[in-house]
Amino acid sequence: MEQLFVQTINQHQGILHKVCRIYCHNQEDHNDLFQEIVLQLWKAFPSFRSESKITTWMYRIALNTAISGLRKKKITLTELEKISFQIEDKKEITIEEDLQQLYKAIEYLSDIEKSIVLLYLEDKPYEEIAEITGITANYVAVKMNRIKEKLRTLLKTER
Amino acid sequence: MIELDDLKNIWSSNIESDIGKQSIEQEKIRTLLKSKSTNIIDKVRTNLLREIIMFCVCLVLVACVPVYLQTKEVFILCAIIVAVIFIPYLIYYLKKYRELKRFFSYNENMKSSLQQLIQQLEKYLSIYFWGSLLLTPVSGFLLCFVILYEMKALGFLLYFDVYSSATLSMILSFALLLTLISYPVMKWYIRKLYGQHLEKLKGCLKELEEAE
Repeated sequence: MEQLFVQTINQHQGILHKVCRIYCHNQEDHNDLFQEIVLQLWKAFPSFRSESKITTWMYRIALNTAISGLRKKKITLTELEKISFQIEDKKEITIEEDLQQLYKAIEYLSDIEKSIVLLYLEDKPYEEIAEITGITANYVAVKMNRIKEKLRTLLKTER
Repeated sequence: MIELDDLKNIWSSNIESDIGKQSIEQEKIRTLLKSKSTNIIDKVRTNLLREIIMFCVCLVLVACVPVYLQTKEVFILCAIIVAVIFIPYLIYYLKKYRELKRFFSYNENMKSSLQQLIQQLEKYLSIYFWGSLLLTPVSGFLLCFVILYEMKALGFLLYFDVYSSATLSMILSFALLLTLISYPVMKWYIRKLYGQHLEKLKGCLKELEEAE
């Protein structure tokens, strides 16, 4: 079973890294969260019954681990304007910078919003997001609109 | 202004190369399986185990008091304390420890996982608080009693009757005062220990329940 588990993680480790990337601000936190997610997936692996897709199951465990974990500082909303100004100052933005700005903006979202935005960016249908989060697909849509508004404010920049 | 669908494009075209740098080998994944979990429930379980050990040490100490003092009254008092406080609490703690060992909520969706996690944490913090608060007057009372008894045996407090109702009332008052002082201290300590984390989890759950 261990071999099968290791192979599964190896094959889908991108999911874990994406979750860590969204929830962690530095490499040390990233590694700690990655380790914790692997441990929790290993704990849950015997009970996985293929009722849902393996990726949905992995997202569910990974996001639950990330949300309930004891992590350090969270950026406060009072800094929101500061980042917005920094973004506005830049006239020429490369794709790499775009991604960094996106990460930076996501840092200001709540833990629940981060999960929803990650699943949205991963192009998951609202039904699957609903299955992972436990809210209705309609409410996912409402929530997503609010998040979009928030991100729009944060990423206000002239191109 | 950047549009939200652009975000999805930025994400999909860049994320794979970004996380590709983080990719780890199968052997490393295998090593991770042997590491120690920092999960909140595992931490609570470790704390509970420490509590159980402390309870057992206290139980042995309380059981030693009548052996040391060798009086019928003290024996009865200690037997009551052990039977009414220590044994039931120890059984409850052991039951809770086994329950936490089996507890795993991450297979559920985020909302129900959070609900279960919050319920477990609240239950644990409640028994931890009341257990510690209950131990304070008992330990205070016994400690005071043994000190006074010992001082009298050593020749101090010659005209002092350890068993008089006035002395017992004084010791009892001291134990109650100790409990009153420890109440806010315990509240603060528990909040510092897990309270803030519990609040954070409740905040997440509230956000998910907004739609209902």
